[in-house]
Amino acid sequence: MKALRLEALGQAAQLADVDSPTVRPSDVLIDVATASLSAADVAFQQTPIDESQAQPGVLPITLGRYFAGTVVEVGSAVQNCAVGDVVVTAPPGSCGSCHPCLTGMDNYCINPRAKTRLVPGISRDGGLAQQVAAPERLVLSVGGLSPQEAAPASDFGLAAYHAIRVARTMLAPGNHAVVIGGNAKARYAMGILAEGIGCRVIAVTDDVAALKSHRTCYAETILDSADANAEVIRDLVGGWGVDGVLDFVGTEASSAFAGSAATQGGAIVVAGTGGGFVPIGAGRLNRNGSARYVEGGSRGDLREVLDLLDNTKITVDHTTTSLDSVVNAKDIDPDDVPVVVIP
Amino acid sequence: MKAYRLPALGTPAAFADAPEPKPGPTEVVVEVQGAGICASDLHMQSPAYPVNEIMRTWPMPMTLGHEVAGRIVELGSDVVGWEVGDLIVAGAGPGCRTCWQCTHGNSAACQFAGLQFLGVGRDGGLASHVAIPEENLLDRMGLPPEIAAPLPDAGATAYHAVKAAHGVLNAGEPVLVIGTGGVGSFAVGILKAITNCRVIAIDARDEGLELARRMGADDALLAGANNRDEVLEITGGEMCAAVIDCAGAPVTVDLASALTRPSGEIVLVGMSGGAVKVGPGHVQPGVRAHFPFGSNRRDLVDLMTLIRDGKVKPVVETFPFDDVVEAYGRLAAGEVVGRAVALFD
Repeated sequence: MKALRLEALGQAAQLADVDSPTVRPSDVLIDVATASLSAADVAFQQTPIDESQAQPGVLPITLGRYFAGTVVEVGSAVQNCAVGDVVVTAPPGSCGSCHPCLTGMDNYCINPRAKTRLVPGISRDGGLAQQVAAPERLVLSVGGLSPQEAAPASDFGLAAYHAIRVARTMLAPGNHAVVIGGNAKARYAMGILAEGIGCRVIAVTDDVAALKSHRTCYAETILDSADANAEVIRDLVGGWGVDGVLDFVGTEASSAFAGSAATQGGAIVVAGTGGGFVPIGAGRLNRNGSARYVEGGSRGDLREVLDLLDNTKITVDHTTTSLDSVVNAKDIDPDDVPVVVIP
Repeated sequence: MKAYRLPALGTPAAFADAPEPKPGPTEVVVEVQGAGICASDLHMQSPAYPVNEIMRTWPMPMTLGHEVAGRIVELGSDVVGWEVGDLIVAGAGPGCRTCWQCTHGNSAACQFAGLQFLGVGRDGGLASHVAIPEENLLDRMGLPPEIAAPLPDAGATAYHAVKAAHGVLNAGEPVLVIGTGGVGSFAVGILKAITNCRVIAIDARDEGLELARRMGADDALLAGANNRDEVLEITGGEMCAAVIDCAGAPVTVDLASALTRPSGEIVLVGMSGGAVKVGPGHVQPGVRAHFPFGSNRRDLVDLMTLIRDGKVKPVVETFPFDDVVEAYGRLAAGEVVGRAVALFD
């Protein structure tokens, strides 16, 4: 079968003909319908290597952390998945027994081995191929959502939903939310906030024209980052600021703005990793407020976001391409516009 | 009547003669039985106290005392919920009743209600009588005045802070309280009462550690450069589900950031120049930092219930009202163990 193979870190991945994956007892074998190119898929091919990313556990490796498809075979120990199920991979790997796992925050599992063991595209062959084997514990049914929508949703939509879920108390219908950034996660967040909850969304982005050019943009107001400051926000919403701020950029400038835009009791979510931070303490505006630094999303979040996208028809533009054309994809930025590969 | 009054912000308070209070239409007059002695009263007397536009409008001289337990002796014309003789405690109000926060029970984060309160913008409870708006009153559940008086500020603030972290306080997980003075020691007692966590206390004074132990702390550590390693040694390497930092200094905030596990909670109560840096590289992934200023009426009711039922046992040091000057002196010198309360005959 065809697969996108990485021979060595920092090299461009190549299309290769490889054997079908071996199915372990706890695995399901999936006919890949779609794979969504992830930041890790690209970072592994770049020089210098991005040390902040998870690193591949084996080489050579078939890339592809996020994918959707139909189960065509199950291992002998598989219990809750059957041939014919349409599934996505549910990040992350998690141990199921530490405190974060036990409280539905399994994306913050404190067991490092569980996070990386047998994870497709990270420590074993991934989904940028015609078939992929994945442990049962890492897959979830897509419900009614199409594989086209499900694969990018399992990466970017999940991260957006998790960022909203942890601040959900403040992100109530009619409340104001600022979303910083115009990337895929930010655009999912705008859709979920506006259509899924009924928040009034203010988007703040470096590239207003790019955000407006998308087929769907769910923001009620779009501000250029250069013009956005606490005073502008207060004029816009009245009162002291907005109820929730989701920062999908996370630079020094964006997090300084995030910290100043929230009202008293407001919730700030730091969801970008650009080196910035939000200070919480005396003398800051958001008395009784909070800030949380988030990464990814939980299995529970994935269930919910897949259902929500299916029920609301919220969509985020993506490009569709073939396996052949993502060879030399090392300069693509999939975080901006998701790249859905049909092997 | 005799009152302990502030002539102006940034100047020393002293005993003075004050007019007997009259109730406004929606106020009651309370005969004070106990009044809490708080360090914030000392701050208001400091020439370095930052005075903003709103504070400039406060009527002066002003009687201090923002924690009051007493008995209602007179009702305003439009008071609906109270009778003469009711034993009350005065606490946070319900806010504006209109904004999102107030309509969801979190008036501590009200955008619109000012900070004006007894002893903080109007005459307070360090006098034989005080006028109190009806909306600030709560029945004090039979608690004696020396127990009830310190609850609206020190106690309820601690309860509000613990509640901010309550979602992650799983059985057996370690939780750290930094700074176990008036507020932090309440936090220790509340944590022991409403969770099954292992409560570790850190304080810079032996008196603080003694107080933390009396409130039920499982471990008490003197503040020092090796606190991070000492805590991890106690827990067997496990990080804390939550850290409640009642000191709020740069060094304690760093300690809190270093000891809170992924998806744990940092609750910053103290205000000594520290700020938690929420972002990658500064805290573990998933960590949330709060700054839960003040409290809600719910917090005070819940705490009084715990105390009435014997689950939290406050430590107080009482002074006759006539010895208030000495009480503030001992507070300023760090000699008070627990909360200082002035009692009236």
